[in-house]
Amino acid sequence: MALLRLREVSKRYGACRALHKVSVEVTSGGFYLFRGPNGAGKSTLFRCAMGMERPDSGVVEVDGTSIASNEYYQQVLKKYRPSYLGPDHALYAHLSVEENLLLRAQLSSREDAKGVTADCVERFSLSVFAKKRLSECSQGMQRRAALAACFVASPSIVFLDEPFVNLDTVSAELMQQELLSAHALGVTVCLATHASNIELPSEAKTVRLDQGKVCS
Amino acid sequence: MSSFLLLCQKDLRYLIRARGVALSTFGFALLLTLVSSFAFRQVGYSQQEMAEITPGILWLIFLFSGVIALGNGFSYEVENSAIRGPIFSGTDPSVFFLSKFVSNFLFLASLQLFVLLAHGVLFGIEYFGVFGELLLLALLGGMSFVALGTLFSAIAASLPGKDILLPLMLFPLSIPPVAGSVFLMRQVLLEQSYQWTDFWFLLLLGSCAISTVLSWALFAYVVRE
Repeated sequence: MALLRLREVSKRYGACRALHKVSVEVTSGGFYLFRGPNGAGKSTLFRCAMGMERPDSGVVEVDGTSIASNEYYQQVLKKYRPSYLGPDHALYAHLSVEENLLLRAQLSSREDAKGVTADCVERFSLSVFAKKRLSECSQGMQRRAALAACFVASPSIVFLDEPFVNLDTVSAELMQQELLSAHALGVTVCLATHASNIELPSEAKTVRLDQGKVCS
Repeated sequence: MSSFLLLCQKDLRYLIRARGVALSTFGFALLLTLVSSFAFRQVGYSQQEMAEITPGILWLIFLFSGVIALGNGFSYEVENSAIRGPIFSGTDPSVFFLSKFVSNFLFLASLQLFVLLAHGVLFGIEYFGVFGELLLLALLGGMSFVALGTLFSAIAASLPGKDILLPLMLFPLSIPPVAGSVFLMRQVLLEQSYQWTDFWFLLLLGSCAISTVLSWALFAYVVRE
């Protein structure tokens, strides 16, 4: 059964058509790579799936239940447990990297939040700047911290929109490995990237978007 | 620790670490008090006339410095879309509102206490005996102001021209609690008694309750949109 299903979803921003009758199914534990040129609608698709955007028409379903935007937070977030990394890293600039991760883990009601945070700091090689405030970190470090924050909350599905931006080659490879590890543990991954040299699991499915439509 | 306490702790850390923001707000309030002392004290008002105008002066200072504090109180939530972290972690928006309301209220309360003390010194007014009652009435008005301000700062934070939008939305709706608080503070300074059932007291309490409940209920909708 599909974990997430978008049916005939359309979204416009003024005269610009971002999505046009897009239908996509994401099964639990799958790995989905979203490809397409700039303006193809990848980010809008992710935002609709996260409930951050209300589609003009069409339906977004989670576990077979249609998401009405107004009921999203209370009902769906707890069941669906999505994580999202977009252009902004969604972390507090005045908190340290470690404090940000701990806060996210605690708010997600993770048992042993401190242990989970320490583990995430280790896995994402954040120990050197874990005590630094986010505002004191470089763009690349902030991106790594944001990726770690996506996984500290034990998500069932992650939407990663260009997650490797600002990362050096070594960091990008490390993050890819962590992504594959998380997927191997059962996390559903939806990845939108222009990067061509990424390692994918054998069962990964590619969804191509162009001008707001699914091409394949 | 509950989500509420975790979020309050996060706000408290901001106030401690971004000391410049807190200090500049208190500095601005002190400057307003100083300017108003030159504008009003030197005119040669009698004791009674000073008691008549003091609550109004105090509330102008509370409003202008308070609106800066409220604007700052939400600005770091929209910086890098940080608010998405707690919300996508499943935090109930109403819990988020309560934590923000409490943090903002504690900050405004300390600002009001500071302004009352500074005003007493600069205007040469002896508040002995009525200080507690004046502070309580200021806090009640402040509670309503903060409840509305927390909601409107969330609305204005992501809009262009947020600095001017916030007072434009907030000040008109703050008239009932401010009017109630000003009238009762004047009664206290004039050593006139008032009853719990007086219109101005009911207006103050009513606007406190209505604005807090309304802002709490609407905040979730604002965050979702």
